[in-house]
Amino acid sequence: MSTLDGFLYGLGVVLTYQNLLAALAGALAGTAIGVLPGLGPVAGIAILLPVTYSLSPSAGLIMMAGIYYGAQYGGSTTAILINMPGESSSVMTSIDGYQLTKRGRAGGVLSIVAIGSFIGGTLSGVGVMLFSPVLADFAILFGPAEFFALTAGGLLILSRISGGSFAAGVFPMAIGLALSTVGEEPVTAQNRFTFGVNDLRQGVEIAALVVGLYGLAEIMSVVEELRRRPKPIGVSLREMLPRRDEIRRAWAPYGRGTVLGFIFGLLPGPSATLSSFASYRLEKAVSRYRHEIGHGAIEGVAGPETSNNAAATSSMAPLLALGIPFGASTALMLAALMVHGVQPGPLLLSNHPEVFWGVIASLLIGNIVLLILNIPLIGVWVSLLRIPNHVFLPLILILAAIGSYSVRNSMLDVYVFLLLGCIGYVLRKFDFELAPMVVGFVLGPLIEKHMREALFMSLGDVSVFYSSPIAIGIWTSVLLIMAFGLQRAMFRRLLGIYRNRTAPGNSG
Amino acid sequence: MSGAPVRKRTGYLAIGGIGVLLAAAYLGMALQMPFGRLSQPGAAVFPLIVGGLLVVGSLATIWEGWKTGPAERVEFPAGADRARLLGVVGLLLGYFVALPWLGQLLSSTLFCILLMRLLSSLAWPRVALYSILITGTLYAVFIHLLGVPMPRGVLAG
Repeated sequence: MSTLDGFLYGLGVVLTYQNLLAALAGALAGTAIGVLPGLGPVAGIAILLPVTYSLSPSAGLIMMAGIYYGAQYGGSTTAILINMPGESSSVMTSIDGYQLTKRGRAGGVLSIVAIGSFIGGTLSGVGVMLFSPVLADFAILFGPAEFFALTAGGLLILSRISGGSFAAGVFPMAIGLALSTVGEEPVTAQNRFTFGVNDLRQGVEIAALVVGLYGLAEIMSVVEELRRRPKPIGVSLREMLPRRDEIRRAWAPYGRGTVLGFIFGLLPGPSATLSSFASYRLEKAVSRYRHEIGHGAIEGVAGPETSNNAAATSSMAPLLALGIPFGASTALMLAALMVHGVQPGPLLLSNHPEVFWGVIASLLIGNIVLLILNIPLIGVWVSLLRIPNHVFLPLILILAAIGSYSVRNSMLDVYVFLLLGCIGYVLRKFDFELAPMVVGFVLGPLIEKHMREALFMSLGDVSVFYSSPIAIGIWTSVLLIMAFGLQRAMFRRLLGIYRNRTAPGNSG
Repeated sequence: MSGAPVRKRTGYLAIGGIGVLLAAAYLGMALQMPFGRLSQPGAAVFPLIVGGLLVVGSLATIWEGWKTGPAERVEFPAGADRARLLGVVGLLLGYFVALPWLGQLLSSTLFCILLMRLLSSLAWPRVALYSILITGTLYAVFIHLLGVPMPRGVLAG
């Protein structure tokens, strides 16, 4: 199937009643999650994970992808209107966005951001469409040893570049891997670390783990301070029209942000957040109006917002083509696919073309839906900001409890949610990174599977892990990144700004 | 907000120490599982590698704690902020204990009422009204419409 045929086939998959509804529901939920403080895309996807189990694999993934990039759109609304980024990827947007709001340009800026997000998301979607099949074709050459290198190496890189110190990444990663070993072992059905508890034989439930780590821990931080949110200004539809000079100045940042975001999305780490920081710095370096950036320049919002959506979209490529999630949000999508019995990876294209092409086509349809939702419905999103904490927090907590319990009808999962929420709160206080824990938890069974298969097929010859050119190439890249910390050094520079702006939050 | 500062060093040493204990217990249990052979690895092999990583991560945490200057602090909530935070955790625990007995609708309504009172200064009748609206809506959407299975408790008869 050629790329064009595949895309047309994907459009046929998406343009069904159920899948369109899934895209719309995901985009709506994602935007709301992005707007409201206390929930990020990771926790949002996790809460709605049980709902996606009842859908077809393609509809479930389309909905989760919609939540992920919808949250990037929504996160910018609070950043611009009340200087409170809904997502960590919108932190940079708040600097210039809020300055422009104070000058009475809120409506125009929101439109510039929505158009930029649309352009970044759509062009990145086209990139995913062209790049993923090539990547999948290449990955057909991979055997268990190569996949072991990719999963284990990717996890190691993620733990080192997620931010913070060596311990802040490796310790949570090891905890996530350890939690993934709880339950019945798949080959010999041996119970591991179940302590005789029947509910633990199926392992720790990912929805409970992630909602606790990301959702409850974040809500505890909100409760701790419980400051009154500043009242957002009202924005009417008429004010949403950007000025001609604003549009003219936004085009170059749109282009640069799209390219930057697309590349970041293909790499391990919190790509949407990182790319928005990188884009901001790039604009400060190359823009003709760089002296205005930081004091209310359109380039300071157009670039980062375009790039975070482009990154959120292109992060689907490694997931779809390799079956490797490089962030917590895509890790959840991988987990959901596995619940449906769909094994993501290079064979996804041939075994489940409806999932592969359906999701790719949904990236484009979803961005159109989001553009439609974000410009005319801006009043609705602004009104969400007026919901007081004492109404919003109980609602989210009950929703989280329903989400945790309903997957397996197990009270144990509800207690796991509470326990991991408290652990996540403390770890975040001490600047430990939570994404390696989630990705480690999801990748743990895959790493073990690939390791055992490789040893089995090589009759116990451990040199299988470093004998093929692909495995050598992957491990060399991992060693180089780990040793020289190329991405890490870049992240630190970017993180310097991030830490000054906000506490660590939900980076997908 | 007046916080209760905790030394970062103390936190890291405590987290690393707990990590070492967990790793020791984890490795102890892993050692009792079958090893298999290299050509057919048993259930113990992967947990032993993970246990090793946990030891490395925990020792790194202790090392970084040791190297952290005594002046570095992490702010934890104090006074009313701490009481409110602990109140939320306590209410959640109570909610989860009550959930199987009282069922989703009743326990959620009670939890919502108490949490709203904790987070606001609204009068009881308003709190009760909001709580019934919130939990009623969630019940209608998730349990009634989407058929999400939740404990029904005493209401199930």
